[in-house]
Amino acid sequence: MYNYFTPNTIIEVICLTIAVISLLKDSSWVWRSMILYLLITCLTEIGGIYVSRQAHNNHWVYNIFILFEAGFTHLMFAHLFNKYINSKPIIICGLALFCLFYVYEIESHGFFRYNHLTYAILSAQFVLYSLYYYYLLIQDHGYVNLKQSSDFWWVAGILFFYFSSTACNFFDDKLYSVMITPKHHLSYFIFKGLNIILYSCWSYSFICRKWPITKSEI
Amino acid sequence: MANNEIRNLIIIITVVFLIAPGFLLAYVFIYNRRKKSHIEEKAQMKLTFEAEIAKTQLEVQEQTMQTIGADLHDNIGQLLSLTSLTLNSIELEDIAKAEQKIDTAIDLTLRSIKEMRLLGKLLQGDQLIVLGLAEAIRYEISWLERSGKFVISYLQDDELPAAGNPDKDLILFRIVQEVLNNIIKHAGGTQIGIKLGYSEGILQLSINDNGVGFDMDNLPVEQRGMGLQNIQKRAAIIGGEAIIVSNPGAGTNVTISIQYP
Repeated sequence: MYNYFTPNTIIEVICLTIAVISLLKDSSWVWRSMILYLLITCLTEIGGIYVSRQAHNNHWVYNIFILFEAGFTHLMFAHLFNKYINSKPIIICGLALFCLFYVYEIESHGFFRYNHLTYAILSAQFVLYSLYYYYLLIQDHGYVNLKQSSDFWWVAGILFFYFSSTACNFFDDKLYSVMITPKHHLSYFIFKGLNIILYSCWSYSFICRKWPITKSEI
Repeated sequence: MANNEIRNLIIIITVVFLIAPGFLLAYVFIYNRRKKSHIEEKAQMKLTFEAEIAKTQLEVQEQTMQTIGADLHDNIGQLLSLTSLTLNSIELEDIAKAEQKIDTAIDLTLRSIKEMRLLGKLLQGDQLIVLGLAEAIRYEISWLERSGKFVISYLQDDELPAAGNPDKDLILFRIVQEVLNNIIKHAGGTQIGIKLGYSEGILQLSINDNGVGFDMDNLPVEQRGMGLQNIQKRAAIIGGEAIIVSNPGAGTNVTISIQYP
């Protein structure tokens, strides 16, 4: 049981707990859906550890998870873009591109090898979405208190995580030979650090989401 | 490439790619703060503008009340006194003379009624602006002409846009009133020229007189602060410019140019 407590699972469970506390009664179903997504993330992480100990290859678990990752993140971006523009064309194109690469990779190397190319494309999409969101935010005439903007910090987490993981995505094939400890290679540590940044930003974003509700109740 | 080199390269790239979003977020933060101060400045300017409009409305009303007070005292009051005197002096024994006096009293009463009607219109005060700037200026001129002290020429461009700007009209009308007041009180002239021109979205209001004029450079501070700065400040508030040209003995010319409507 002890082995399931990795830095990744711990930060994910903390983020899930904060999401449950902050978003359970949220007015937006899209924000509430983040609870479900984080629950799926935690289950995937624990499932991934379990499968790797049983069968050594847990890539198929993450191949399933990437579907949820793409779906929920696109849903959230659609929700954020809708405040400024009609998001449907961008989001539908993004999802279509993702599906195309996903099917192509499954077709080419099967379900039991991780879809690295699909993940790299998805990362690039999310980076572009984040940059476009900030562009829309700057262009908008209204003022938003960014320190307490849940949208801003949610996108910040995405941008930090997916932009910074670009190097890992690029050198994916070479990374397996770069071992830092006998058990873990370099990308494991990089993603551990990026996960901490991502879930910290998201946790803060969920707290910001809860903040105005708490304030009005006082 | 050796493993160590790959490791170092990936670490460096990851760190750089981690710093880049940091800078981007910092830029968004700074831009957002500037946006906030811009919004606050705009709100402050709007408040100042609204306060100036309210002040101008009050001044136009005050000016109207002064005109009404003066007219009641100097004109209608005199007419009614004369009517009363005429009626008092009627002797019923002399029918022919009495008829003449009654006719005079009727004539005086009719003139009083006419004056009262004009006053009633003026009582609407700043509502004159609803009729448009040109009409309001014409009305102001007609009152001034009645004093018989000034020869006023008024030229108005036919190209004036039909749909005006009530706020700008009000400020411009108040400027006209202020300039005319200055002419009456200080200039000592006999001729006043007013021109309202419009060309390529620019409205130009020009008022000149043949009064004593003044030396722009050696104007006492207390005089400079009162009327002239007010005119320039008001013109600036509606995005315009006021140019005042005057020389001792050569009259004064005030020109205001603004984007219109």
